[in-house]
Amino acid sequence: MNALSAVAAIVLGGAGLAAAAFPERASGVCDRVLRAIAAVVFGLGAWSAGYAASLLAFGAGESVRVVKDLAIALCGFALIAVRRRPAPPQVSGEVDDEAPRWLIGVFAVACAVFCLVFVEHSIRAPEGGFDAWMLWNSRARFLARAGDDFRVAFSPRLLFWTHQDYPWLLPGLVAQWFLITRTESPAIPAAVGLVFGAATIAVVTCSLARLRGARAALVGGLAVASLPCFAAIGASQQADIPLAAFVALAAALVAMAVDDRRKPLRPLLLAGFAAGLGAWTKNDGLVYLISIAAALLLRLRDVRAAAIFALGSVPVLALLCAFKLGLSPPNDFLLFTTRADLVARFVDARRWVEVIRLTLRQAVYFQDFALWAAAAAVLGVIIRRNLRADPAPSVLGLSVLLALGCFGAIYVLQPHSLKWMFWSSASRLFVQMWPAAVVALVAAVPWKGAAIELEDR
Amino acid sequence: MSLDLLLDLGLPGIVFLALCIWLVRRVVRAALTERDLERDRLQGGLAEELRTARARAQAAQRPRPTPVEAATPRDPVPAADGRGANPARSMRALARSVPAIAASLAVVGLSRSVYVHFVAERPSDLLRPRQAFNEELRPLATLLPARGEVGYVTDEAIQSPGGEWQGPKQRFLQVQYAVAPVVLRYDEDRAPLVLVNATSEKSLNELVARRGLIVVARVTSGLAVARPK
Repeated sequence: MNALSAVAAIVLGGAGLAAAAFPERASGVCDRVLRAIAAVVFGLGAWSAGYAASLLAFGAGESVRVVKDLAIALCGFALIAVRRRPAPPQVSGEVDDEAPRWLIGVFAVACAVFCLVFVEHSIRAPEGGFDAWMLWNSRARFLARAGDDFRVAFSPRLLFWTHQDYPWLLPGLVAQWFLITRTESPAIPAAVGLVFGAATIAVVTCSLARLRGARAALVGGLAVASLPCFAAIGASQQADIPLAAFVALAAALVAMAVDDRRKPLRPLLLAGFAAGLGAWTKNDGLVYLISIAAALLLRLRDVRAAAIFALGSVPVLALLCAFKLGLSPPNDFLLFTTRADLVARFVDARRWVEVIRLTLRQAVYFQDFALWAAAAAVLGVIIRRNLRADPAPSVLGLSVLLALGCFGAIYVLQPHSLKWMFWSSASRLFVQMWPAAVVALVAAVPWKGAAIELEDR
Repeated sequence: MSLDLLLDLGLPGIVFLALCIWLVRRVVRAALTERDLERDRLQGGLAEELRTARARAQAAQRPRPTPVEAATPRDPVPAADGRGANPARSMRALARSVPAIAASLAVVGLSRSVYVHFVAERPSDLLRPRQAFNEELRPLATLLPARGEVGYVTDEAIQSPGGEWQGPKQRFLQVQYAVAPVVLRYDEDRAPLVLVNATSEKSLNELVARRGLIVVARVTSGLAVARPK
């Protein structure tokens, strides 16, 4: 019953949310795959958020989890039942092209290497990477083993390095499967990582196929699948890849909503929900949520679009507030920072220069990014006018830039060694925003006569 | 210079140079073609005939003065919609090149991944995976209570924020991961049970003596469960 109700909640809950995000009929194979992947990502996210809400409200009983699963499944079923099925949208940049076979071949090889690296890394490091057992899987064990004492996972009596204040979408997922399977097999967090990693590639590929055609889709998919650190970080069972999947889904939905001449609101609402799930995955997710909302406001001058997007994130933000205010977990940023420290760090020009220097160095960090980051920067400069003029890439591009700026400021203000903090986290931050940046950049390339901007205007 | 460094910097450098040369070559060829087309436009067998015909047509179609109606206000011209417009030639050329460039970049990235995961790291090790640290620490579960708090002392202090040495922190967090949901109280030696984690057996014995503890059980080399005297 437990496993069945869990699967029903993930499948039906996700399918319901995907049906709400894509109310029209599917326009092709890629569109169907996109909906299926969106259903998986939404389903896993909603299932974990529902677990956290039920745990905080009603405790850790098995019956509570089953009732929660049934409630999610019923909500999903209701969303599927009430949907209408209008004709597929005519997106402005829709391109009906065919991809060359060699490009399909390279993409297939990239996906195969992604899977192989995942398996290899999971065999060599079954407990995952540093952050996996330090934070995410450790928290999952606390939740699964402690029962009604689950609050101990966020106790201020734990050492602050366990980062008790981090949101727990990923630990919630892993802990529930630990409980359902009655094991703590490392295959569970590894499988979760694989699902989110593959989903991220699929979301980027299929959304670009819908927006700009097959060639753009394969280019976008290649950019994500062949990024050297993408598979490694995913196989390390860290929360950055689930966050990347939620940010990518939010970005894809925003791009589709902005590109659609009918200006539909439901994709924006669900994009807000996806971004909210990102905020429930990692604190960094809040930065992306705020950045996308701000970009909608600044680029489109559309208060309604930004408000609808923000509204979609409200349920998950309410959960985040309940956790942060209800359990008051300590935060190392606040623990070691006074107002005077903040001011001193903020006005220290050397820290800002150091962050810029480290960022420039990171852009050509071959071990993690090969030449992708540098190539993206060059492409961004070449097509900067398209990036500004085409609404969808413009919104996404600005949101990525805003997020970069926010993280730069956080690096300057945080209390740890700047160099250590940067080198231990910058690649993961890059991976979080890379899929959204790829959607923005590839969508801005004038694949056919669909681009808005004329470069020589 | 190590082979790793040479491969890390040399190979991508070569590929990057090759990409640059390929791109520059394409741009130069496009520019030459453009120049040739422009130059040949009014040359060849039909060029003279074309010029004569064009002059005759211009003379015939010279406008004569005719009365016109007074201008009347019309509906405003709808705002130009650039969505259907063709992008400039340079942008179209770029769009044509993007798949090939992306494939080249992907080959570089995939080569890097394959080298790191299947060459630098020996594939034969995959058949003999190392023991998970969780397995080494499994005996702790039988030595500690299922819930509650346990002290933790070590001979290598965890650095406060600002420090960069992560070894002691890593060892502490591995033990915390293994014993969850028991809460480890760092640097607490007066709890009923205390985990002693030292870098060697010798250090462990010194630490136990200095902290006034008695060893209850040894778990692995340098790791023991103790209690206050």
